[in-house]
Amino acid sequence: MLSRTASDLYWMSRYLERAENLARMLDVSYSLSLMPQKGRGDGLEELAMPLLITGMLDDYRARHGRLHAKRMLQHFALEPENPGSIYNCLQAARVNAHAVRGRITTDMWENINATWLEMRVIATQDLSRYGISRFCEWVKERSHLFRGATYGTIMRSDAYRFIRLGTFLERADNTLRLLRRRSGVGATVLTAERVPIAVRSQGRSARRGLPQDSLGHPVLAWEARPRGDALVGAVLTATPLQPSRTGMFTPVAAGRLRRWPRHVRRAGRRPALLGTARRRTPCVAPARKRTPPFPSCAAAGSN
Amino acid sequence: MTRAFYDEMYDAGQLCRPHYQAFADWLKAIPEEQLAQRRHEADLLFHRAGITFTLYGDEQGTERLIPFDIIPRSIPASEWRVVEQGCIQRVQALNLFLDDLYHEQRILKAGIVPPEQVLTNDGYQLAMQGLTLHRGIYAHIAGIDLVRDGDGAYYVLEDNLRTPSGVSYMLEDRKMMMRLFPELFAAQRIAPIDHYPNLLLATLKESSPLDNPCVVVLTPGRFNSAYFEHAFLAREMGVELVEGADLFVRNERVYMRTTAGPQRVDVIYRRLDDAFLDPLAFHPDSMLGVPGLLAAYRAGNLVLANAIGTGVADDKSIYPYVGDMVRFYLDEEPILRNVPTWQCRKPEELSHVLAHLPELVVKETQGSGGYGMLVGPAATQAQIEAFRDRLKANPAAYIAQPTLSLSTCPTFVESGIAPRHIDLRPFVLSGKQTRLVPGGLTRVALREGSLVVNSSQGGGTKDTWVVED
Repeated sequence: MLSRTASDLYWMSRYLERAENLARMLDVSYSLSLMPQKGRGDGLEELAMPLLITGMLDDYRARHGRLHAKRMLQHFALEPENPGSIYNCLQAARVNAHAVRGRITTDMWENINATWLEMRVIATQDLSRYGISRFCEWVKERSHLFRGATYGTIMRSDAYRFIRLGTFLERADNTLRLLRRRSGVGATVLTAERVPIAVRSQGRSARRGLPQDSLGHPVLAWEARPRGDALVGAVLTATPLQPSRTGMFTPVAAGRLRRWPRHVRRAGRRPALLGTARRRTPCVAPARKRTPPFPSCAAAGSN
Repeated sequence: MTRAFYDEMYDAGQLCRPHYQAFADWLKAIPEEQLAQRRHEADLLFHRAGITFTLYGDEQGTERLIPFDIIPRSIPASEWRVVEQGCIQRVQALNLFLDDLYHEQRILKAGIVPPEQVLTNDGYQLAMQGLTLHRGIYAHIAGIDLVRDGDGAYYVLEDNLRTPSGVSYMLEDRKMMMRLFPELFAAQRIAPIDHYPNLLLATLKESSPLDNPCVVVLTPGRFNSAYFEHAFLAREMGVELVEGADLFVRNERVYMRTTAGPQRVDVIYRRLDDAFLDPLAFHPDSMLGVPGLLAAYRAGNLVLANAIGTGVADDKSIYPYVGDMVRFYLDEEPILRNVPTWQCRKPEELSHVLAHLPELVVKETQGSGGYGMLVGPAATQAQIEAFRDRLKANPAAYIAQPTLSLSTCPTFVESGIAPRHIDLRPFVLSGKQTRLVPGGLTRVALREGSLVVNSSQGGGTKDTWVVED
């Protein structure tokens, strides 16, 4: 595969994943801004949080000065001048897809192209009239559809791997941004005693479907919940957290857990994020070279 | 002035021609709302699939839909066989001409084509002189533009031997028709065209002496007006779509940068003009090309399709001699007619042209895409006078032709179904044999009375059927 193609595929999926993460952040912060908080009740701080986390706040201030609910929403979601807006992420994803449309399947291309066409229509409307939640739902849904189209149609070759790589790197990047904002630079929230806050803030839904044991650990919650929604909620709530004693985002923090939850022990592996997954894997078959289902040189995306 | 147009669907007595009968019956039976709804669906599908082109001179680089008309252009198979033979003959003669021109130049020595016409032409590439190509093929892919005059006879309007485009619309239009109106294809035998990408790949592979050469499509990039087509063809053939920056030359061999390291490239189906191919040899500031490409080409380590320097044969000033080429090289009579052409570089022909400007079509010899032409009968007095000055200033740059009464085909327009002018571009592939898929791209001038079918000038497309009769 052409190196440029690999790069375009990688950025295509990164931008789409970013758009989805931004939409999630926007959705949560918007809901929070509607709930009465202690101190100020105008919800401006909540709305400013996503801008702060993504590093767009300075740009916003330079452009608009003071915090203003409608302008912040516009800046974050639809502003064509803001390179980090959801609008621009979707555009960048589509531009990258356009550059490799010979490499992705028709289903994938049509999906991402339709997303962009609809985005342009939405951008001509008033966002608050269109509905913030509705918009966020729409972004998420388009992202899900694209992922589904990718999973369902593309050949499992290098192209697929570069697409996945972009997705996961972006997801990790977003998770780290949330972590950093939550507990100060260099600190960690990976300690067991913080979990209840994270989970509680998301209400019962965050707990549902999680193994009972894993409730004790947010990292485990991430394992089951890819984007750490619990964390999104926790970071965005105004409740301050104590900085960690270890002071670093390292697997060490996880050492505070006395016992691995049962389902982890049974699976014979440890959560990959903790960096210990490879140490002892008694129940997993020994690592062997996997043969891809198709020769990787065959062209992907012809259908 | 009223002129007799040849209508593809109805004869002079307004009776439906036999090869359109099945379609006419269907059109009569289908409810109007259903038709409108399917036309709307077609628009949506094209939009979603991003089957677009970009206009030059449009700063925004806006992607536009090429209008698609659901009434097909239909050709009876017996008629098609003549057109097919004519196109094959013509392209064979043109390839022989190019091979001769870049070697012995017999046709110049025989006095059939004036040397100054050829050797001073911008399309003539000295770098090609003496270079022998595999199978002697220069124009692997050719698009022959055909029109029908009032009597229904086919005329060649021009040959496109550089980077003819439009084949993706031909294929997409068919796909769309089959999706929207499958019942039409069940009702009659319409020759399939979906093997074109396979045929193209075979042609490109045959152009190389190697057994299994590595083929790529070279595009100027996503801002090119035909980018959709480049990506489409690469995908359909299952080959890489590369830009200049993806390729490099080392030791006179061409490689592409891949995730697995450099990989040899043997055949480049380039959709880039000669002048941009190699900054070392042509335009020094071209960012689109590959430095050293010409050296690799001249060393015989690479096949370019089409070859460099084919532009000299599709130049409008060479066009009047194609019939002579057929006689000279093939010893046959041309099957397809040329449109009578006045060459403005000849003083006596220029004076005739100047005297008859309001009736003629005047074109730049090296123009394409419908830019820089005058359609006399449709032009205002001021436009004609302005053109007259340009013509006098540089007569050699123009040719003139009588205004053909292009054939018409019923077409959906705002006011309902009305006749609009059409042309036909079959795509001729030259490898081991010269061949083409049945039909081609039919372009339609959507404005009433307009004779300019180019998509850049508001033209649309139609599916083209070759129907067994």
